[in-house]
Amino acid sequence: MALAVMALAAGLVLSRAFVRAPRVERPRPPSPAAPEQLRPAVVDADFSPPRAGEAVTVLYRAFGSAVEMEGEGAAVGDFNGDGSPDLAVGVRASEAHAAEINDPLANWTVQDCASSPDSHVAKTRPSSPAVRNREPLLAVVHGFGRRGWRDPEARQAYLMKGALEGPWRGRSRDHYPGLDAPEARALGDVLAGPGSRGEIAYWTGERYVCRSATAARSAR
Amino acid sequence: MRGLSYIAVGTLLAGSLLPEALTQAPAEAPAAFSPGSMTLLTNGLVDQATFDADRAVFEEQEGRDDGLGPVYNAQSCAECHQNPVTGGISQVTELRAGHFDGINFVDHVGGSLINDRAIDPAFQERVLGGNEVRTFRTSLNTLGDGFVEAIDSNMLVAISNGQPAGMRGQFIQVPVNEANNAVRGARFGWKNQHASLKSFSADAYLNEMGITSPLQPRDNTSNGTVVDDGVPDPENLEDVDLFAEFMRATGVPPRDLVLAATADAQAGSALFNQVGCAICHLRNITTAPAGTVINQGALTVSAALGNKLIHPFGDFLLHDVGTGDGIVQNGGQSTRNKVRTAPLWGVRSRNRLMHDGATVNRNEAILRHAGEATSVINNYRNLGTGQKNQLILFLNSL
Repeated sequence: MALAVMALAAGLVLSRAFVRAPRVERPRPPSPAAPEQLRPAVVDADFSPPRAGEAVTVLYRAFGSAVEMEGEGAAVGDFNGDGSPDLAVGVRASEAHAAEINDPLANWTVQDCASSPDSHVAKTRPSSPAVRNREPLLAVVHGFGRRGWRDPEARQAYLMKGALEGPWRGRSRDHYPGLDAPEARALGDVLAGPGSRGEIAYWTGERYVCRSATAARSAR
Repeated sequence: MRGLSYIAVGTLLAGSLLPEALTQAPAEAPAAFSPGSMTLLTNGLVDQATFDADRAVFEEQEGRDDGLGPVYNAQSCAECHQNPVTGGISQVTELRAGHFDGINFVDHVGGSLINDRAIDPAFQERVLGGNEVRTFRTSLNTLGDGFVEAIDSNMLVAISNGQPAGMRGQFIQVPVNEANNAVRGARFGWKNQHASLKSFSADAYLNEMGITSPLQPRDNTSNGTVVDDGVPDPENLEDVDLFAEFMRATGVPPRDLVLAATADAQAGSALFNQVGCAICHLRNITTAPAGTVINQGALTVSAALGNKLIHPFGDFLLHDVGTGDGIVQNGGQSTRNKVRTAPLWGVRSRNRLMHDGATVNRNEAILRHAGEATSVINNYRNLGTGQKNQLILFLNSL
């Protein structure tokens, strides 16, 4: 027994005195990025327009019963610049659902064209703190992966109040050299508004900004 | 004879196993300050008097005679790292810009950092045409960063390997300037551009204040044009070490223990795990044992920092959560649209959220996550209003 205890003690002392070299953080070999980290996030994305009923299904997935589709038009494009197709649709706040839309914990983000940095747009919009029942809105659903807005996971959604009513369409940012200006920060395709007033909306990384199309078309 | 064999084997086993068995469980890292007094306390790396002296250097206002500029963003470390105490966060952002040519990000001429101030109007930097990639970056918390530096790089790799496919954080290695630029697992900065606090300090001293040091001996240009601040380089020989020592000696951001103890916050904490936030906003990491040589030989983990349990609510890895920021720094082109998971410790002191500070509401910040975080955020969307409130209450206790 005594021998065993002595052996144990000797082992302990020996281990501390001789066995334990300073511990060194093991350097790792240089690690090039894995192929999945180098390739674009989305390849062969499906930018085809919505078939009958598809937009309504997507709106319900993102907003439940809070909004109703207004008209037939729907715009498809990569509005947030991540390579995945997004969908924009004119909608109207459903009757008696304004409180749900304005809920601070809603599953979507409400933004206001009247708070646009473009003074022309801001001046022509009534600014109100909240969405009203039956108020027209522009709904945007960001896509996920190759299937984009059709993917069941695609639920990141925005409601823009103060946007012009009518069919919006997706256009390449190349049509708007004015968006190269330092303050613009347009990251993806542009949403072009209806009618002769000429208005666009684009994604800055955090929000959609409304702007006069005429100004955006002019190179600086 | 057989008895002696047993003893010999026992001796060997004891030698090899007992030291590990006797190793203490990791201790909780100390808090940076007590919420009652708001006095910054050393974590034991240095004595309180030394810590206070280091803090004074961290708070010191630099002027032209000290080498400030020619271009800069602030006059002291504490100008950007101050809330609610020196070393914390602030609303101050820096501006970065460049160009994406369809394949690669290309730095703005003079570098992606566009300084907001200059010692002469002629030196003022501006974003030049053709640089359509632009982002703001908020100042980061530095409290507890000594513990972060003491995390073994292999721990970060193990964290990444343990994350689900599709959400696996990218581990990169970056140069440690004080170790002849040998590389180590990155962990500091929005793009994980640094692995050591000394390298970070020298970088920030140059890029945020325009003050050169032995590790960063050349002043920045103004949009690529060489301009002179009139002070010979290197402009300061010792402050970088003192900044690093201050950050290494800070405790971790303390939680609001009263709020954290409420039933709602505890329910929110469970929901944080349940929906999957904790996959990237990792709760627990243990630092390397005291005595471990890190930073490619430039630093040994002290007893004050070694074998400590920290709760950063971050994984110190890069992820694409759909927010950009489009800039490449030390990590190569694959990191262009990735940012480091924001460690959420101390987030209750922050009201401008995400890398650009552009989101000012907790719910909207959560909803702004996409990309790798999509399934987690959809789990959040499926919560009821009461549950979302509980989760946000939990965040407000951090």
